[in-house]
Amino acid sequence: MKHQPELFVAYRILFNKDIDSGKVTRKRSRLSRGSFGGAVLGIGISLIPLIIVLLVSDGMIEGITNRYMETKTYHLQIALPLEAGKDAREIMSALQDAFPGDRFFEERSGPAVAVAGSENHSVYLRAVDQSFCSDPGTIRYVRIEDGEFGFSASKSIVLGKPLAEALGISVGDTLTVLTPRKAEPGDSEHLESIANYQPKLSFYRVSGIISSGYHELDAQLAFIPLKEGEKILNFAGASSFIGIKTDKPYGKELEIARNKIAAIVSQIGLSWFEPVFLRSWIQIERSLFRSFEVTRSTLLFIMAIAIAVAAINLSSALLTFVADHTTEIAIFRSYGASSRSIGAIFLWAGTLTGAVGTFVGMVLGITISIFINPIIRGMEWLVNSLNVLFALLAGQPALPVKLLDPSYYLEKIPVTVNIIEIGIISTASLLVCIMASLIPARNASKISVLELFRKT
Amino acid sequence: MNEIFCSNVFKSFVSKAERLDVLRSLNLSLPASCTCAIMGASGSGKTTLLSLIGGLEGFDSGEIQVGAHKLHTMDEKKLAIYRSETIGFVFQFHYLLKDFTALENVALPAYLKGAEKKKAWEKAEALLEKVGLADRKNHFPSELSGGERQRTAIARALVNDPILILADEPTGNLDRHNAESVAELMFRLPELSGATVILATHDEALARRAQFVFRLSLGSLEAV
Repeated sequence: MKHQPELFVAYRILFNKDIDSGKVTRKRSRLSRGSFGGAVLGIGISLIPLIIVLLVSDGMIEGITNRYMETKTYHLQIALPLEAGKDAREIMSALQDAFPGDRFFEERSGPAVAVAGSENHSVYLRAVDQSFCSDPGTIRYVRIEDGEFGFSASKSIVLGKPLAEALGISVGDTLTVLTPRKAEPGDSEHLESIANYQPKLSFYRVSGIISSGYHELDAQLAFIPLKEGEKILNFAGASSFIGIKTDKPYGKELEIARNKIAAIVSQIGLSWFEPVFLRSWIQIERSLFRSFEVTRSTLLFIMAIAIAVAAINLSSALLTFVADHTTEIAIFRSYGASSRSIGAIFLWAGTLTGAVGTFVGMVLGITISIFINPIIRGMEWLVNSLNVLFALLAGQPALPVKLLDPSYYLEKIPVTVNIIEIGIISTASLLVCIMASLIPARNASKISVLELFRKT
Repeated sequence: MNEIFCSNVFKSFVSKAERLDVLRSLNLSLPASCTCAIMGASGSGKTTLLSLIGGLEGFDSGEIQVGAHKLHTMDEKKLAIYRSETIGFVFQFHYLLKDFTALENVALPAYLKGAEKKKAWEKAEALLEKVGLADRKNHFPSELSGGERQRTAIARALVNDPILILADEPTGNLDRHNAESVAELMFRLPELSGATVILATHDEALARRAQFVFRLSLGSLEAV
């Protein structure tokens, strides 16, 4: 290794233990105290939130994306005309033959109003086949809170938990669903023009209450049998489509599957079909996923600024270190050590400090991320305990505090450890530290051996 | 051929207030493997002369040649190589690195110069043995006596096989006993390593033990 002597010197300067004069009293290494300890801590602490944001946001986005893909958007959708029920079955049969490993589901959906007693709530009514309810992908992200996720009777409805709570109903209760009425042939001209504003009342018995763990999805979730959907979701604004779940729903493989499916459906020769009717989950919820990415990037950018500040701290620590060690540097110069060699020693010192700080930050960041759920629960418990205590002292009722409102997040934060991203951040952190060491290293390389004579 | 040769060397320091001519037409010729003492009052320019011969500072005019090295023709990069290959410095204060053992302090100049670690360490061990510190090699400077530290510094000055040792008041910080042991070692260096020793000192008794003794006065050397 070309700079092995410089690395050796830098290592010894940083990690050697002090010896008191006359006593062999070992103290802590220089790296664990003073300005270097501060620099290591600064880098480590600045990395912790970055790692947490990265791992948690990755896990959160992946968790939300998977829930959307498996319970709402499917991996791919083929939009159908509302009257194309027969075509749907033909398409599904052809696709099932071509892709025996994939799953195909017919669905009809549209907006509706759910009424229970004096409560009413807008819902996104989804009419699905029983096979969707028992699909492994769906089941993975759906938790049955009460009753069943299925339709034991034709007039069954399954609701998302927050929706059921908002309506104040439970399994076995009857729910009224209001949908626009489709104009029928023979209606008067006046009736035809206002048909879409006339509500159609349908009554369902709640057969199950479910939760996907994502409030945004659950708050409007209402499933009815597909046959029922064909009866009431046939107005302008309702939609009909085939949902497709493939084995590989990400990246290029999804695009390849999309092109193959488009080719097969085109071969059937349906007059209404255009390839643009076939859309992936990314296209369907583009704005949602884009907003996740933008939020994540913004957070990471802010956290990256913290690393830059920590690097300035390291630079400052190194400058102080150089100023405190002019004698030692002059000694190196008296050996004939070149400016390059002196600079390399301090560059190594900065790099080693950065490496230790990065390692500390990575380990702590990953550990905290992995245990983020119990940590948040513990913090909530602590905050609520203090809240109750202060409320008792003040004679006021204590309101429960939620640190992360599950209305906006997943109930349980998933954590995804992406080794490549961790590697990129570690490397970037180390590079920033190396850059921060350049000026101190340059200053060190300019110190003259004459310092020794001047001090004599 | 003389090992050390200074001819008409001028060196002055210019400040806003005044110009100070420290060395004026200084001449010096020394053979190889000899000992030379430079005496003079404080501020007479002894340290300046050592720093010029050591390639640490430039001079206004004249010529300085050490072995085959013509200092007046060399740039900073060449001077750094010259220092590492040709010169060994011993200062009034030992200037050992406190984070390194005696052995490491001696080995580092060779290691930083590019020697293999094992060879540098072996050579340092041999030198510590020569200066009588074989049993103290793994001790840190704070665990050594003043004389031991200075002897370690001398061993360090020898590790790159210099042809010239420049010593600035090498016994100035030591008690009488330690000063004597260091002086004895200094004057044995030509025999131990073949190097020429130039030492600057106030101590007339010490200076008189050198083969060549000069007094620096008014910027010039006169033989004593």
